[in-house]
Amino acid sequence: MIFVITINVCKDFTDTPGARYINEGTYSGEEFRNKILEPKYKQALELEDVLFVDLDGGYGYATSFLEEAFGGLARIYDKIIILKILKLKSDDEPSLIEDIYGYIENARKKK
Amino acid sequence: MIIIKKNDPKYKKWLKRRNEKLFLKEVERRRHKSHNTNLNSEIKTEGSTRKVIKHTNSVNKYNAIAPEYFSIIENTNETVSYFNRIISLLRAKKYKVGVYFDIENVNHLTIDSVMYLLAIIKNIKTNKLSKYSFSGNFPKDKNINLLLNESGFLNYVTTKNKINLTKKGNNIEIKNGKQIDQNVAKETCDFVNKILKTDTKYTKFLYNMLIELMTNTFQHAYTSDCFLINHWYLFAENGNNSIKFIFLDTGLGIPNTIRKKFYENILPLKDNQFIYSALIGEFRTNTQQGYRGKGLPKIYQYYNEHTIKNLAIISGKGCCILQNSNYDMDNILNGTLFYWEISKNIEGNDIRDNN
Repeated sequence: MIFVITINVCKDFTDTPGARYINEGTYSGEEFRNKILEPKYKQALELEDVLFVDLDGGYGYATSFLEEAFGGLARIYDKIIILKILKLKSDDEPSLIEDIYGYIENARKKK
Repeated sequence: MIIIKKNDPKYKKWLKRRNEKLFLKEVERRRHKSHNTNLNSEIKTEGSTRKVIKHTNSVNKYNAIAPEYFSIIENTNETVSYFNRIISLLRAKKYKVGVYFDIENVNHLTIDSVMYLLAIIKNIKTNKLSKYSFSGNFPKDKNINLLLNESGFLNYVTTKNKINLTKKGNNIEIKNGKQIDQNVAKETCDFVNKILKTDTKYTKFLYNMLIELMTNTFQHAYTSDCFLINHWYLFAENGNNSIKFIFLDTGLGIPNTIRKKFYENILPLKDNQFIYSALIGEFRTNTQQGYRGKGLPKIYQYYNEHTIKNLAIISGKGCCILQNSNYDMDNILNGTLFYWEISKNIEGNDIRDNN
C-alpha cells in the first residue's frame, strides 16, 4: 500500500514565494526546503512513501526559488531517489514540472 | 586664601588643561551655531596656537537643463549623457553642491528618466557629509506635467505646487526598494489582472520576472565603490494596446557583473554582446555555480514565447532592443534598465498554453 505525503505550497508555506536564500528575504526557497520540503522528504524516504507537492495557487514562483528548493534537495540527497519519490502537480503552470525535474537532474555541489 | 605662583608647574599644568577645555567648548559652540554641521570646519595647529578654520558656506549651484526628449529608453544617448554629467559633477565636488533640475521645456517624457533622477536624489540624500541639495521645476506642458504627477514622483520630493489629482488608476506609482519585496510583485500582478480581467494564473510569469530582477539587484549589482545606493525602481503603466513596465537598478550594470571568459579580458566583447550572451543563457553567472544564472534566460524565454514583447535592456554602454537592434552607445548608463510590455490582446498571447 502506497502512502502519500502531501505538501501544498500555497497553503503550507505562502502564496508569495520569495527568492533563493534566507538572507534575501522572507519565504525563500532555502527556507521552504529547510522547514517543509526536506523534513517531508525524509519522512517519505523512511516510510517509502510518495512525496506529492502541489504547486498550484499563489502568485507564482521565481526560478531561483524553485532551483534552491528542489535543486538544493538534490545537492543533499541522491537525485535518483528523489525523482522516484517526488511527484509534482502544477496545473497553473505545467512547464514548471519539467523545469523542476531539470533542476534536480542538473543540481551540482557548491564549489 | 591660597596663593599660587604663576611659574608653579602645577599652575601651568592646570592652566593648560583649562585653556584646552575652553578651546574645545568654543569649537563646539561655533559648530552648533549655524545650521551647517562641523563638516566644513577643521582645526589647524600652528606652533602652540590652534585655529578653527571654516570653509566657505556658499553653495555651488548648478542648473541642469534636461533634454527636451527626456527618455532613457527612446533618447538613450542624450538622456544618459545628461545624467552622467550630473553624476560626474557630484563625484568631483566634496562640499556643498546644489543641483537644479530644469525640466520646464521637456516636451516628451518617459518615466524611466524620472526614476533615474529619483535614484540620484535618493542616493545623495543619504550622504550627509557631502551636503548636496536638489531642487527643480515642473514641465510647462500640461500633459507631461500630469504624467509626472501620476507617476508618483511627488511621493519622493516636497513641493509647494502640489496638484490634487483624481487618480485614474492608469499606472502603478513608482515603487522602490532595496530587498526583494513580494508585496510589490503581488500588487503589480493584481494591477495587470484587473486591467485584463484575468487571475493570478495569468501573471505567474510576471511574478517570476519581478522577483528575479529584484534578486539580481540585491545580489549582484553593487560594491562599496558604487556611487548610487543599491535600490531598484519599478513602474507600470496601462497603455493603449499593452501594459508597459520599467524596472531600473542603479548598480554596476550587467557587463561589469557577469563572468567574463579568459580571452574576453584581452579581447572584450561589446557591452550589448555581454548582455545578449547573459540573456541567451551562456554560462555567465558571477557565482560560477552551474545551477545559478537562470533568471535572465527565463526572461528571454518569455520574450521568445511572446509572453512579453518589446523587451529592451540597457546597461553600461550596451543597448539590447530585441525588437530592433543591439548596439553600444557613446555614454555609459550606471545601472540597468529593463523595459517590456504585455499585450492586452490575450488571445494573441501564448501564456495560457505553457506546454
